[in-house]
Amino acid sequence: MKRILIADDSATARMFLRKCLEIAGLREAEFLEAENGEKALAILREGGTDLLLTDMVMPVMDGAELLRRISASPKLSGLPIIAVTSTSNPAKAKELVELGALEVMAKPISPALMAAALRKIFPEGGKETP
Amino acid sequence: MSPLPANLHQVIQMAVGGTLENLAFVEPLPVDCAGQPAEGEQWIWAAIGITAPAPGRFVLGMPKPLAQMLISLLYGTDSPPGESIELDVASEAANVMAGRLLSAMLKGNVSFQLSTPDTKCATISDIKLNRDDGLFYQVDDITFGVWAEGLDVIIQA
Repeated sequence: MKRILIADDSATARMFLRKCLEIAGLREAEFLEAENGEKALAILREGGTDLLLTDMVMPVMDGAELLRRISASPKLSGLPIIAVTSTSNPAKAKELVELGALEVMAKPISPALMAAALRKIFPEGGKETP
Repeated sequence: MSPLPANLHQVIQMAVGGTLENLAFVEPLPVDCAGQPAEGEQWIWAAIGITAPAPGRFVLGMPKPLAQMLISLLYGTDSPPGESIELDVASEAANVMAGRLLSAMLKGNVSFQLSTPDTKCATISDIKLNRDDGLFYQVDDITFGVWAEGLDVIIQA
């Protein structure tokens, strides 16, 4: 079973992203939630997370800082990350990829877009932890 | 605020409809609802600033029963959600609507930037919006509205 962490300060956005992931094929995943980057980092440090979806604009610690902290951590630096943004700025997307995001998705996110991203991240199908 | 060009009404309708269909599987229908919301009626409001490519604002206003319906559909629960989650659902819906709207208007050729949503439960007078500038829709006989400012300049970006 995959362990997925969703970091977003909006409870609605977290629920929506979770539904998107479920429709996109991760119905049997374990979902964890964090309302800011600091809480997300604490969960990630416990280990066992297979994928992080993170919003960029969050209080306490924003998404960019969370990506920097993950990149700087030898334990976490290989973690697949989907960065979720409210903008369609190619320069910003490039910056997020340089910070370690595998995928940058601009809202609105559809289950179809999510499924395409998951196929890249979990080419084995996403149901079993490698 | 100048009246929106007619073609922008269609783009806004697609953004509003697509968002609510995606978020909660409901289909809002456009209605002519001059006079909504009533004077003194408290609605849930979410305002998003558009900071690029040109300044603008997108505002979503809805009565509490619609916010509660969306929460019920999204979360699969009928228990009273509380005002913070009502504001949250309006904030996320407005954020996605504004993103859809600008993506459709700018067709991916020009990047855009949105501010963090500002939410409150208030009357239309508190929000300083003109009823006549709103575009109104209904979901299950519940009327809600959106107001968009600056789109005439943004579309020329």
